[in-house]
Amino acid sequence: MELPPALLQFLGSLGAILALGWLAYRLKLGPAPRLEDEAAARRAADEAVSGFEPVAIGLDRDGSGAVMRDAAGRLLLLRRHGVHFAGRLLTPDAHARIQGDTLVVDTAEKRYGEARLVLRDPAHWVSAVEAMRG
Amino acid sequence: MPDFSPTEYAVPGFVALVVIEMIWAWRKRPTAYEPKDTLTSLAFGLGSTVSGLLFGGVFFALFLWLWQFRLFDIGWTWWAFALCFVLDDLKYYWVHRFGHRVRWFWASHVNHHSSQHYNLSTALRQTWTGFLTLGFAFALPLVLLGFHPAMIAICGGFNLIYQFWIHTEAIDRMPRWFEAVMNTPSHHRVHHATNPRYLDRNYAGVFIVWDKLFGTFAPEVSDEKIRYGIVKQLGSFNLLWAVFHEWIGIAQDMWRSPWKHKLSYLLREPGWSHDGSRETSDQIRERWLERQGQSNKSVSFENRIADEAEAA
Repeated sequence: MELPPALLQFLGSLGAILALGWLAYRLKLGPAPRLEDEAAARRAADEAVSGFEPVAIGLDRDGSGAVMRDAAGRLLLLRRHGVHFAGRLLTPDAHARIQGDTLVVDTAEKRYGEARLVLRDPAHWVSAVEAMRG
Repeated sequence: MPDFSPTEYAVPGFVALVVIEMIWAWRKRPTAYEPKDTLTSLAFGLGSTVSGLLFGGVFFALFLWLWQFRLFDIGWTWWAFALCFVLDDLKYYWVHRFGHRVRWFWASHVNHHSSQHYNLSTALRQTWTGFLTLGFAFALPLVLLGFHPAMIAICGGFNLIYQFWIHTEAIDRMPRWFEAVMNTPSHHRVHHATNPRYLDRNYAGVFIVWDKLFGTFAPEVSDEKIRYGIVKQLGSFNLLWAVFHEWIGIAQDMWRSPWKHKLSYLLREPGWSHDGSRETSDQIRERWLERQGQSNKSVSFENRIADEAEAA
């Protein structure tokens, strides 16, 4: 059976894509990032939302993310996305709960999903998130 | 009419250069690549070729039909190719500028920007939905001038090939004369940056002179780390979401907004909202400049010596 050239080209490209993805994996490219301290969290916050200056920071024990509040009362959630962080300003649709020693923040945005943070005083952040719901 | 697609011949070269850049990343900067991001970007590339096959023919047929009404008979000469390449690059500048300034166009072009990485795989992160915009209309003047649609397509192919190599952090700066005229990795890093000072700058394809001519040029500054992607990062590697998220966003905004604002969500700049709840790139830059002004003022007030040193 002879494959049409366009299909052959498609399958060849697909093979090359998988090979490149495999190579990136094998070379261990893309190490997980870490928020070392509050200064790093501040920088990441400004990168996520230009001008966001936190007055309170809940930093994950392993640096995998953070939840922060600014002087205007806005809450910003940061979580790992590949080798970077992706942030979301929380809306009144967001939820927060405590599971064991973990704060779980659900942005209510399906594709961004939820973040799991181990931090000091998770109850404080649950209250802060729930307070947004009025 | 030659049946020639330069990008098809370039694909093996693209793959080889991505491999070389990955080896550079492995040795020098492991954060430059991330497997899931790479797979998403390359899947975008593959999907865009399929989309081009399915819909490109329709626009090509339209151009061929319009070509019969051309003003001049421009043959297949070397100078016609050279002129077509330059004019096609000017066309690219304006399509690209609209791609950033009109949300309808941005919904398609955002695909190219939604990776937080900047590497050669990002270059292949091309849209699947370009046919849903009016980008093709920018080529109509070239067709009506008399350039054969196939010649325009070939020049567009070479334009795309040129832009491949500038998607890298592995090259710092090119020689000064080259940076002055041509689009380079440095200029294009600025274009992909979300730092407020860089938003909506450097739209050029091949010749950076268009940005200098039309007032949209910004040089890369060496003491500021660039962050790549979009203002509201995707936070997901889901391919279909990455392809369609902005179209879905437009539909949701148009559905929810009052009648008199519906069209603005399609035709105005990304980030615009009728209630001011979001920020456009211009607003982000303005507020950043205000903050910079304030912090500069407070620094010079607190540190008169620094202020005097500046004056000297």
